[in-house]
This record gives sequence, C-alpha cells and structure tokens, in this order.
Amino acid sequence: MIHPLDQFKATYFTEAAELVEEMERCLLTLERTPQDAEALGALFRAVHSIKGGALAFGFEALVRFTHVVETRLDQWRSGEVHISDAWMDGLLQARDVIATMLAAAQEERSLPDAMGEAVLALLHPASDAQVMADFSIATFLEDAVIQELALDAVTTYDIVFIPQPELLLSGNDPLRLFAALRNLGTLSVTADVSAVPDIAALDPTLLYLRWHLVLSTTAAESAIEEVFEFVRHLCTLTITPRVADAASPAVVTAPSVAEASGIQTAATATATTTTLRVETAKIDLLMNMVSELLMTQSILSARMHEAQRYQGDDLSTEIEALGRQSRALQEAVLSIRMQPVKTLFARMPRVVRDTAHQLGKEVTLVMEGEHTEIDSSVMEKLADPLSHMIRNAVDHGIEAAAVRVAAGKPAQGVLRLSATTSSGRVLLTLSDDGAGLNRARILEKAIARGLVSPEKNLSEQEIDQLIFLPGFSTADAVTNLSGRGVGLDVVRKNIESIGGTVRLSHRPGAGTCLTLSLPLTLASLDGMVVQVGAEHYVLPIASMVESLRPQPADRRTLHGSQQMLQVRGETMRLQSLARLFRIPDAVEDPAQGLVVVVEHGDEKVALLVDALLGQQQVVVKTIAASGISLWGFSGTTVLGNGRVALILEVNDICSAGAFPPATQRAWEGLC
Amino acid sequence: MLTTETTPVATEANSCAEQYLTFTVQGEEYGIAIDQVREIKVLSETTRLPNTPDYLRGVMNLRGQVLPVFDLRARFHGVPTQVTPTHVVVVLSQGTEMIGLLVDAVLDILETVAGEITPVPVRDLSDAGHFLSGLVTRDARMVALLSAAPLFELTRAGFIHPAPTTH
Repeated sequence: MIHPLDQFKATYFTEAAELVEEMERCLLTLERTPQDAEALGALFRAVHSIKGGALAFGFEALVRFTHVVETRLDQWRSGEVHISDAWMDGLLQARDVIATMLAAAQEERSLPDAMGEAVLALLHPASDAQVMADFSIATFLEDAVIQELALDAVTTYDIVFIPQPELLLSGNDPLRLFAALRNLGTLSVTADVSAVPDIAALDPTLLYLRWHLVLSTTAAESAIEEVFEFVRHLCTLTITPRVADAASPAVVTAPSVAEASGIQTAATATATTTTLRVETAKIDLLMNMVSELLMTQSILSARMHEAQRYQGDDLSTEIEALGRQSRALQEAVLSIRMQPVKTLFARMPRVVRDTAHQLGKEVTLVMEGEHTEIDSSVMEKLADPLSHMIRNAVDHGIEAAAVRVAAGKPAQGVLRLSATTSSGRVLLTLSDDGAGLNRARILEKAIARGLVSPEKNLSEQEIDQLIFLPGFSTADAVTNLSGRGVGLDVVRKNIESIGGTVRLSHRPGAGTCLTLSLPLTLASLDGMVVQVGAEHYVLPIASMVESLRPQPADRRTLHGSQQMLQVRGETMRLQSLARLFRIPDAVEDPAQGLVVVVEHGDEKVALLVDALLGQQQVVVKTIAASGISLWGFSGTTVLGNGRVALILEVNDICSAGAFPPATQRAWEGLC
Repeated sequence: MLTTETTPVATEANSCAEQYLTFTVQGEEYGIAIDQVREIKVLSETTRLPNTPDYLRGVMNLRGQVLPVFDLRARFHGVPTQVTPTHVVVVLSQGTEMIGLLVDAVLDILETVAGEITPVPVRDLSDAGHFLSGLVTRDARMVALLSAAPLFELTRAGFIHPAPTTH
C-alpha cells in the first residue's frame, strides 16, 4: 500500500538536491565576500528547508545534523560568531555530509552512526550538548511557516470494489471509474487476481478481478459514491473512512513545510522562470517517436515519387507540408534536450577551490557564456573530462604564488572557462595565465618513458602533442590529482567518442589554452548521402567544405604513391572511400566521379565518391549489440528507404593512409 | 590409445524439460533455447560494415533499431549464404542487446525431456565445444544445441582501434 507521503518524498529529494547545490554556491560566494548577507540568508533557508523535510519523513540523523549546522549559521547571521577559514572548510564538508545523508536516505541505505561527527566537532567545539538539548520537535513545529498554512482536512478512505463478472458486458470500464476517483485526490490501486482462472477456462468477456483502493481526498464520501453510481447494482462496494489520529495533523502539515519552504527559496531565487521537471526517459521516447514519424513521412514521399505524381498535385503538396511539420517537430523536441552549460560549469568552482587548496596555490575561476545551450547527453559526458582538465590546469598550468610574483604576474592565477557556439558546434575553452608548456621538459619525459625515440627531430607542435600520449606525465610525484599519467589521453578519447575534438595552444610563460569543439547534439545531424559503388553513406555536412568534379589535370601523385588533388590552387591529399572500405565496382577516376573536400583540423582532404544523393537530416542510432567497433564511422542511421546507412567519421578517414588499417587481422586472431 | 574425450558440458537443461527453437544451416539442425529468442524475421536488406569478416553479414533495420546479423553458415561452415526470399533471421536478445542469426530455415519447437540432452563429443580443437552446449538425438534427428553467450561474443571479438598510419 502506498503511503500518501511517498509521492512527496520523491519531490523532497529532488528539491533537496537542488538546495544542496545552492548551499555550495552560497558557501563559495561567502568565502570570497563574507559580508554577502543575501548569500548567507539563502544558505540558511536552504539548510532550514532540508531539515524541515527530513523531520517530516523521519530521517533522524539528517535532522540532527542539519539542526546543528543551522544553529551555527544562525549565530553567524546574527553576528554572534565570525567566520574563519577552518570554519569555511567545515561548512563545505558539512554540505558534503548532508548530500551523502540525503543520497543514503533516498536509496534507503544506512550510514555509520559516527557519520558527520567529525564535521560537527569542527563546527561545534564545546556546546554541542546544549544545542541538542534545546532542540525539540514541539519548538520546531511552532515555527511560523506552519502557522501560515491553512489546510483543508484530508480524509483517507479504503474502498473495496468487487464487480460482478458480467460488469464488462454492460459497457462499464473499471479504469474509467478509477480515473474519476483520481480526479478527487490521491489514489492507490491494488488488484486482486486470485479469481482469474487458467487461460483454458478463461472467458474473455467476463471480469475476474477485484480491487482495493485507497483514496486520500478532501471531497465528501458522497462524491466517491457518485463515481460508482452507474455500477452500484453490478458490484459489491464498501467505502470506509480511516479515523484521523492525533499524529496525522502533524503528518499532513509537515510535507507542506517542505513544499512551502521549497517554494520560498525557489521564489527568492528565480521569480520569473516557470519550469517543469521531466524525466529524460520520456524525452528520449518522444525523440524516438518523432524520428519514426519522420522516417514514415520520408517513405511516403518516396512512394509518391515512384507512383509518379507530379508537383502541384494536392497529395504531393500535403505530403511535403507533412515533411516540413515533422522536421519542425523534431527540432522542437531536440531543443527540449538542450540545457545551458551552467549546470556543468556550476561544479567547477568547487573543483578549482579544492585543488588549489590542496596544492597551496591561489587560483580563481572566471566563467563566461554559461547560458550557451548544449544537448544534455553531450553535457553528461563532459563532466569528468572537464573536471580533469581543470585539475590539470591548476596543478601543471598555474605556477606557485612565489614563482608568479617573481615573474611579474599577480600571485593569484586566473582560469577562464567559456562556452560559445560556432557553425553548428559548441566551443568550450579553458585557458590559464600560467606558465604554458615547458617543451624541453616534455621532450625529456617522453624520451625517458620510451614514448618517443631520442633521434627523432620533432617540430614544436609535435612536442606539444606528446602530452596527449597515454602514459605521459611531467609530474615527478604521483599525486591524488594528476600525474598518474592517465590524463589528457583519456580526456581526448572521451571527447572524441562524442564526436568532439581537443586542441591545445600555449605561449611559454604566458599561459595555456585548451579548446574543445563539440557537436550541438548527439542525437541528429545534417548529413549528405553519398554513393560509393552500391553502398550509401552519410557524410556530416558540418565537415564538408565543398564538392566538385575535378579536371584530369588536377590530379597529382606525390612521391610515387600518395594521390593528391589540386583544388583552386590548394594541393591536398586525395582519399578514395572505395579503396578504404574495399568497395567493388566504384568510380576510381576522380574526373569520372565527385570529390568532396572535408576539413580535418587545419588540413583539408579530398574524398572521392561516385555521386552525391542529397541532403538529409538523420537521427544517429547505435547498433543494438555493443562491441562492434566501426573504424571509419561514427554511428549508424536509418534512411528514408528503411535501409541502415553508416555515418562517416571524417577524423578516421583523414588520419589513415590510402588503405584501411589492419583491422581484419584483429578479428582473425581472436576468433 | 585413442580415446574419445567427452567434455561434460554443464547444462541446467539436463535435469528438466526445456524448449528449443530448431533451424537448419547447410543441412544441419541446430537449436537455441526459446527464452533467448526474441522473434523471427524475414531477411531484409543488410548494410555491410566495411572491413569486417564475411560472417558479419551487416546490419539490418528492425523497426528502427540497428541489428547486427551474423551469417551462421559462413561462421560454422566457412561458406557465405546465398540468400533467397525464404531465408530468415532469428533475433536473439540478452538484456538491452540484440543480435540476428541468418539461417536457412526455421523448423519447429523441440521440447526435450529430462536426460535427453547429451554432451558434445569434442575430438579436436574445433570450436564446436565453444558454441555448442549439448546434443539431442531423437528418431532420425540430431540437433546441436547452441549457447547464446558465445554468439553474443561474436560482436566483441574486438576491433582494436588502429593507430593511424603516418606519412
């Protein structure tokens, strides 16, 4: 049986999670500017609300803990005590403890009794016992918040509904009855299936179920009876109100405390935006349905052309209109998943603070473009790489205060994190005003770790790229943070796995800048369908520069083997997709086929295909079984004709030589 | 002395009745536990994945999902299937993953009785022992029972991301 409070519990946990984030924001603000009364007030209210809800649901440890924190904050607010550095640490740790306790309560885990005791000691050197003694539920309930609320009396009814088997034959549907009951209040339904016979004996026109319903409502019992009016003679119905006991007024009002306090803090924070909390699973489902719709429309349109209807015909106009509307719908749904990077950036100040403190450096983080929107699935995958990059920057980029001052820089280092959109991509840049990269040291370490041979003469750019190799690190001691050499190569792999790129630039003595270029969304992309032999592939339009049919004279060979092409004075490598993917019966002469120029970093590469078949927005799908690695492709999609098409991965294709890498051998060796 | 090594393959099916979907590949009968089978679909067009072995025939559109299809004749007998409109794909599912097996024809559902499944006689280092979990001999039929897990592992036989060749 569902307890009426359980639905409030889920809301409480979601709101509490937000309050915990708010707490961290306020604490970090107060660390910079301790006089910020608004931040202090918001912090106090957040803790207070968490405590209120905890009390309603009986999370005793959490109540005790938050109460102590709240008392301290109150003393700070009233000027009784002054904040110190150790305190700030203590409060931040207290926030972490609260987050842990909430998570445990939500998952119904238990925590060790001494949880948080150490932190409490930090906050309450002496008078702990006194504070706890002063605290009592009665005092709390006298809080003004409750008195402000006036509530209608809610009664809970137990309804036992036993319909006669012939109920369905009279055209009555129990589900409609339950829907009507739901309109009256909170309903929980339990079905009794004990009377359902074996399928061989089952008569599908008869009803073998009976139900026990629990309804919490402010409506009168007569309203409930009214719902069952038409089936009164076709069932046995008992409605029993539950006797309200002394505990229930408190039980009923308390969740509203959480709600009301929650509403209070929300109102002070963002008075103007109206938002809706939606499960991402629902949005994913919506996305799938919309893409199926688009595909059906596409097939319909294709059939139309096959049936050779001409333009201007009513049917064809309508189908085109349907296509436009479906594409607009898809864009709208996609935009639901777009979230401002603010949520991602919000965790970073804490990372900077903790890392800087651990290393004894002074670093401040400046964030720009927090309102830039990015697909939530892309954002999820960025959290870890970004944290790592920031820890790296504080550890290796920013020098110690003394070193900085000696170099004529301010003692405090500055990290700048910014987000912008540019031609279908999101650019995230992390720059610091540190020392840049020490090329000599990097080369030294790389040689020492056997990552590069000493004789090789590397250009400056090539030396810079060494830090992206697995196993590389210039740290002499492995710290908890970075230095274990599992650094930037993992970051780059993670970014590349979502279709992004990482670029590094730096000026020795002046600073380093890492730029991440990411797709706006993982879900769909603008593609150009290309034909190679009998196969169709999808090329992301974002990578395309231009397409052309070259003259025979534009073709060149470099050093005997590398095919090159001259395009408007520029010479670039020519890659044949047919050769790369071993596709038979494809066009081999560029002058007979078509060349698509793509961009790969700073390089342009010419790709030889048979023909371009048309632009299409495609929904990216993953293969239903994991482990199949698609070299040369970033994903799959289903085209309008129902066939699966592979989406080309420009990075792989441009990085390869003229022939595909030895993947075949890997398969043969393993199976 | 020549002895036939029989590897007693542990199957829970040995002790109670189980149902197997049977099908033919190159004239031989195979069976797979019915609870692994999601559906049987007529083979529609597959899109080849470049640089993959012959037995990974390609991927197929299964109501919007991209299903990898393995050619069992190619894998077990080394000869790729010449498809006809009657060839079918047996779709297996395990959790959130799905694979398709291209077979010649589906036969029936075989219900085994206790003790009917015998171990697979393994004579040499062929991979019969790897894929097969048991044998059922009934009347004139001999049905080789397949384990699902090694079939799913065909996907994980693993591409290693090749290091790009530099010029």
